[in-house]
Amino acid sequence: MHLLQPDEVDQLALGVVMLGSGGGGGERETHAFAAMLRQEMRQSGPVAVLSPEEADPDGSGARVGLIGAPTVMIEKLPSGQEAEDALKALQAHDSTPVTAVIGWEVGGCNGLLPLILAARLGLPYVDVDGMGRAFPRIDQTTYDAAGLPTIPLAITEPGGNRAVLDATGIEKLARTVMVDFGGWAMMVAKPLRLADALKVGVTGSLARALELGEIWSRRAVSVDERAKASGGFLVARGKVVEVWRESVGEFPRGTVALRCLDADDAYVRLEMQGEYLVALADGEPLVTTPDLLCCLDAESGKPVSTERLAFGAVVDVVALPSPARWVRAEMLGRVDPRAFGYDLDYVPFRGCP
Amino acid sequence: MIDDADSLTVRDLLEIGVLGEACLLAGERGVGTEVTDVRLAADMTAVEACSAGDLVILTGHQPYLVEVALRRAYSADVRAVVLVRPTTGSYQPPSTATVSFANRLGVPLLQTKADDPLLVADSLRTAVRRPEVAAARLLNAVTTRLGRSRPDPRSVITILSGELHVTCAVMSADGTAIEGVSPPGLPPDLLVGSVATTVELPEGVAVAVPVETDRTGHVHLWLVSHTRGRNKRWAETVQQISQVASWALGNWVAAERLETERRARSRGSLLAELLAAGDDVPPQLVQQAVLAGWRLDGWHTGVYALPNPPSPGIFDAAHTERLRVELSRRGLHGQLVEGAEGWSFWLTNDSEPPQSQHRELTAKLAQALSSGNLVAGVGRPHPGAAGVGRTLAEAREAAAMTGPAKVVHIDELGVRRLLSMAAETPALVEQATRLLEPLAGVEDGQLLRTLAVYLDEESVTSTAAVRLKVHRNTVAQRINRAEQLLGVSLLNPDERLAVHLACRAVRASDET
Repeated sequence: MHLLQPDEVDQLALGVVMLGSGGGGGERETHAFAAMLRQEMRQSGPVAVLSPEEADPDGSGARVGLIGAPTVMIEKLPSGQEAEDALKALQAHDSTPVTAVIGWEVGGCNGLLPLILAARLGLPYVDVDGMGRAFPRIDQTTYDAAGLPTIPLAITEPGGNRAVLDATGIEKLARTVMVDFGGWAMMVAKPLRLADALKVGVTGSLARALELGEIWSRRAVSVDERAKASGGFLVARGKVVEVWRESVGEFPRGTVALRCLDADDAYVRLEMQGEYLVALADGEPLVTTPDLLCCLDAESGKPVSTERLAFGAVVDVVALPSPARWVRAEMLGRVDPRAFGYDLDYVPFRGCP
Repeated sequence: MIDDADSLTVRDLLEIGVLGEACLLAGERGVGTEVTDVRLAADMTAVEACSAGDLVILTGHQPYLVEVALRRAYSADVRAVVLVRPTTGSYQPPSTATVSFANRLGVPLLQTKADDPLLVADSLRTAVRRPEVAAARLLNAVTTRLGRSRPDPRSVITILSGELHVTCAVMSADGTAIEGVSPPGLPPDLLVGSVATTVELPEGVAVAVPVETDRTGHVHLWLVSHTRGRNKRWAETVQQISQVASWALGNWVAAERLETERRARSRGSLLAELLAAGDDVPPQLVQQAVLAGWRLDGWHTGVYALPNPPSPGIFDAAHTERLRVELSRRGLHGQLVEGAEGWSFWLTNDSEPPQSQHRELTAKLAQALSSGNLVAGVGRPHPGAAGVGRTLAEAREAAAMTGPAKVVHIDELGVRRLLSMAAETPALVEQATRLLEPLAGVEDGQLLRTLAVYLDEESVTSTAAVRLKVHRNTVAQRINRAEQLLGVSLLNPDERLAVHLACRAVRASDET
């Protein structure tokens, strides 16, 4: 058991942003939640983080996640009650007692939300989640892939509105409700039996976030070495010479060309939707989803989210390996480039090229 | 170099216009390679299926897709990647990064505009695999459009340049562009021949097809098409289609000429304008002249015919036509223009005619004019459009000096002037009358007439006999008698000249 202390929160926030692969809420939004988490911890004490072995398999774990645009939160502030409200709404239908909180999406701000809920409810957090990174869709979880239920699903917003959805096609329904709720909303899905969650989920993802946070806060170490220490590699350091975005289909998508600073006339292209999904160099895919891609500002070293990457920025593009659970033939169809509409196959993660 | 190969290169495809409004975005290094097949690729699997020599038309245009396709195209030795820009909807043109990548690979990246990539693929594939079908389609399109519009030079040029992506000009044989723009660097001798010719230019190939040929085989009007492609087969296609277009133009020439004939008087004013233009003949005048069927290049020999004595009533179409028939019956095929006082007529040769021609021409003219009361003057040969004016001016001068002769060449004018001076000098006339006194009234003047004809015919008894319609011996006897009566011997050159001069002087004074 690890007691998560308030002074570890910043490190954790950096780690979850790295696991966000450019999405799941940017650095600023995540740090807003980090402040909330610290505040909650000051009131309720540190959060107990249980490793998979320590968890009671017969217990039941609630998972919480934010749906919508984290950037909207700057205008529409959270009340802090949303997750608790959603859980209560859900328990009105299904009174299974919740013994722990588990992760849903560790990447981005959704990596911190379960900890806030755990602190509020005084429940332990079991170190497992459904993605091991950030993905845009509700069904892109290993839970879903294993057939664990997502419905009924409660959805709430700061104004006190709540809805309990129990229908197939939950993705579309939840998003419709989210739009009517004002751009973002909090979701709590049907609690899972911990034994099931641990069997199919990505375990140890919070520990991984803490590890990444620790590595990437070592500013004195070169990016190249930090990338290697994280099990990945530095794709390129480049200057953004072209950004193009369009909003057709479900998610905004865009493409970015970076001119490499270390070579003449060499370009790296990043394809992005909510997250950075594919990196190509000279027409050859180098890194493909579900492997992770992070852009770090070359000057400040801070991760740059897909929404904020702008023309002229100089960034380091870092590739990190996907959670092993995704890289299996039966799982890839959910999260590989084709799942995002790219006519490319998954390229196995290679070490330093 | 005109490319002899049957296969089209990427450059050919761009230049012959099968790609429509296409432009080369990158990879110019590779445009010289030959394309053997065309494929339409909707996804990467289709791109991967391509083999060496293919040209790939991508239906997608996302930057990553284009770059991946370029890379696979490069490894598979694909000749070019074509992007199809839809006429409506969003399209992102390839970025700097993509263009730079294509340039590095040397794979031509082309962009064309079309609603349906399938149509682009179809026309490209036909051009590459079945060039004869592509040519037939073009021919079909050209003939359909020619049939729909009035085939004047402007619309023919518009149709040809629209369908074949060539620049065209309708040119007269002297190289004046009557319509359209003459291709730069066109060799001047291209329009000398009489059959369709293809010639290489610094930028592409020019094809010249004759529009109108006269019965001597000389071409008055040419249709010149300039294509940027150098492919041999393509040049042939352009020539064939130009040939068809030239028939339409020939039709137009015929119709226009008919119209011009109807306005025969306008030929008179056209000639007057041409004469007034001097050495600097403007293109629209050249066009009118060509439409009138006049040949302006080559060497012109002018003839001016006028009635003697003057009779203003005879300048009508019927007389002109009769004169034309008389002339052409003697092999004199030239332009005949009626004026207020006489007819201008000129013959055109490819090169400068020899001296001997003028005697022959004079004789033929004399025969042609023998039936009427016309006399004619002949000018010296002069070249070019301005030459028409010069030779006709000389002919007119000569015509004014004919005197008793039917036809006078400008070169004879000196002699004739001397003679006419002699006829006008009273003292000489008096002397002549006195010299010939013994013959006056003898045999009703027959002896004097015979003597004059005999001397005019160079003292040849037989020729004089033919002219006088008498027997040769009769002429000889009469000359003998005249010699005795006059007391001179015509074998003596001095005496013969004096008698001949006296004959002329008396005849001239009788006529005036």
